[in-house]
Amino acid sequence: MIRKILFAAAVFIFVFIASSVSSTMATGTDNQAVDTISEVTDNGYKPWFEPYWTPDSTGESILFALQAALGALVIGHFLIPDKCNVK
Amino acid sequence: MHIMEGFLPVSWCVLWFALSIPFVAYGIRKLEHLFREKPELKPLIAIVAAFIFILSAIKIPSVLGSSSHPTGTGFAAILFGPAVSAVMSVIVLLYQAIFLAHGGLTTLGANVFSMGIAGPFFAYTVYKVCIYSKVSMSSSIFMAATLGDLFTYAVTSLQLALAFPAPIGGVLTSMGTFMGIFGITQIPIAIAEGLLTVAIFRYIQHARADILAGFNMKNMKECGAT
Repeated sequence: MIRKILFAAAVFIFVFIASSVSSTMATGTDNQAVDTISEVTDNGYKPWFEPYWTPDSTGESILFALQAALGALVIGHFLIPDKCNVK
Repeated sequence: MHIMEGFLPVSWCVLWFALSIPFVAYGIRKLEHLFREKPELKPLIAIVAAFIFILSAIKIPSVLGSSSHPTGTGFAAILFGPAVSAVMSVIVLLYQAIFLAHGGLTTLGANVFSMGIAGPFFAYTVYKVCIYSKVSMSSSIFMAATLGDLFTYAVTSLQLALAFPAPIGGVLTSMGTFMGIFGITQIPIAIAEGLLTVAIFRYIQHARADILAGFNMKNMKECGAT
């Protein structure tokens, strides 16, 4: 049990760090595409719908990490053996 | 590959929804069928969905000071087909659109089409062709997951180029520009996704072969792998 939780925690930390590093050191390709749309249309395109809220970069990293940790719990549940089951 | 909220004209949003909905509907029916007829596959279905959850949450720096995401959908597509990966992508992309402002509700149809349908369909095809050509199973899975990831981003570029053709040179020029943004950044990430997909498959195969027990391994045996 503890190994499954540790695995999910490790995934949480990895994804949190990867996302945080991306936010500070790199530009997301999704945002670059938005810039290109402005260039191609000569600022003529205005988005017709906007997200009702946008998390800050820490919030974003936490939510990505939660998403991954959820997946890691499921994978851990099925794939990580309990210690007593190891042959 | 997330086209941001509101960044596709209404007519294109409608078109991509219209193209995606039949695949998602078919995928839901297929999953219902699998749950009913082959309940022993439930763990494997949960694992491929969880794999998409993990990989699509990874936002990682790549070359050229850009960051992007793997998709994780090739694995689901290889095992269960692109319709099933479409359903799983809807769940992930809804979560990211609602809570992270990554992608959007208006662009959900377009994003599901690229990540859940087109990329996985390509991955599925590459896998079948590789296996048919007697390529080893690990290499086939690697090629399928890697190229499927890249194809997803090519389709995103096409979707943007169609909606925003360049004033000079039109759709093709625009496609080149968007491919320039997504393409290079994605190559290392796609390769990493390919390696991870092979790793998890081999892990299941060796450590938990019982999970694959209910799975039709006929296609996989053709290449001589066990």
